Amino acid sequence: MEPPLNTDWLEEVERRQLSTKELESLRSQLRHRPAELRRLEEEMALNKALASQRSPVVASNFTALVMAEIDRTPTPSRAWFQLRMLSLRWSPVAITASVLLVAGVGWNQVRVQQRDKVAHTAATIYMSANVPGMETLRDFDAIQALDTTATTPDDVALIGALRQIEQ
Amino acid sequence: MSPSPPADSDEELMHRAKRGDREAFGELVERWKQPVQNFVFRTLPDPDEAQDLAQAVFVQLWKSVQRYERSARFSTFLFTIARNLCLNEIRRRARHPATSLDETRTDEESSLAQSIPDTATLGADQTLQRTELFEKVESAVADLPEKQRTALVLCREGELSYEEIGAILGTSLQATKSLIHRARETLKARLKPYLDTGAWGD
Repeated sequence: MEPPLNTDWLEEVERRQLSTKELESLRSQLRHRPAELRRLEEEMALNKALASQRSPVVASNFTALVMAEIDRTPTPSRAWFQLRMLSLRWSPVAITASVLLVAGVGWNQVRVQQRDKVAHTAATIYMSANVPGMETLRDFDAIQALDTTATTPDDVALIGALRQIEQ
Repeated sequence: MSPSPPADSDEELMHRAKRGDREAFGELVERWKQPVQNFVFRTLPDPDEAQDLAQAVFVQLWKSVQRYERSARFSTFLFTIARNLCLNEIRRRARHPATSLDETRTDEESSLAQSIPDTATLGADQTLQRTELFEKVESAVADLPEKQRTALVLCREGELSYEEIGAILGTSLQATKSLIHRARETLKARLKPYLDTGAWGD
């Protein structure tokens, strides 16, 4: 029975064109492994096919045209490049500054809201300062009761009766 | 005869270009024009538009030269620009299907292109002839999903490592290997009748 396909050599064949000597050596090693040998021949045939691809002819004026085009192209100066690199180098700082700025504005908003709450509370306290003192409030129920008594119809009727007696 | 001095690395040339050395930049264009044009052509299989877009890649490279860090490999930087421009062009075509890059050229650009003659295209007809087999391969590659195709092309044309391809595509090493593997499996399935014939020769 034929041993399992060992393709350790495959990467090398895929990566580069083997020399005649290398190829002969590999064929010799694989002569008792027909499946691997067949695979090797397929890979070599593909390599040949790829190597046979035509290469486009490079024009003799290729370099001259490139250099002429370069002469017409404004070259980015070293100073410009350094400025750009500087801006790229500073970009993390700019990002951090932006994040800090946003965080600062947010924090300030929270502080303003807290101050509003404190001011509101202070206003409430100030308003409650106009309420009568505790001494007055202690007799509040009695005063309210008197007020209620004075307005009851029975008392009014009694005062009216007394006035009639006096007359 | 004394040996020629070792060529500057791409990274060194890019460093010089960063200081405004146009000659160094021209050397980079010379070195990488073919791989970039191949890459663009595999993405947008039209030789003329591939050339225009490949030139745009180098112009964009010049504009982005100050962004290049020496620690990064040049090819990764270059092909990232190339891929982005290709994707932009694909999106532009999706929005305006009938407009080609040539049509968006200004008069000044057209006159510039005409003023610098191309001598390499003379006698290149034979090179540009398509055979049925080549067309099948090109068609199969062009039909791959964008990431699979880009990974495969960068591996074959750009000779970039899996790590570098992953950096361009924004994928992990394992995902990059998987993209290339799946692309190859798809191609093998589509091209099986042609691969079996052994018509590709040695």
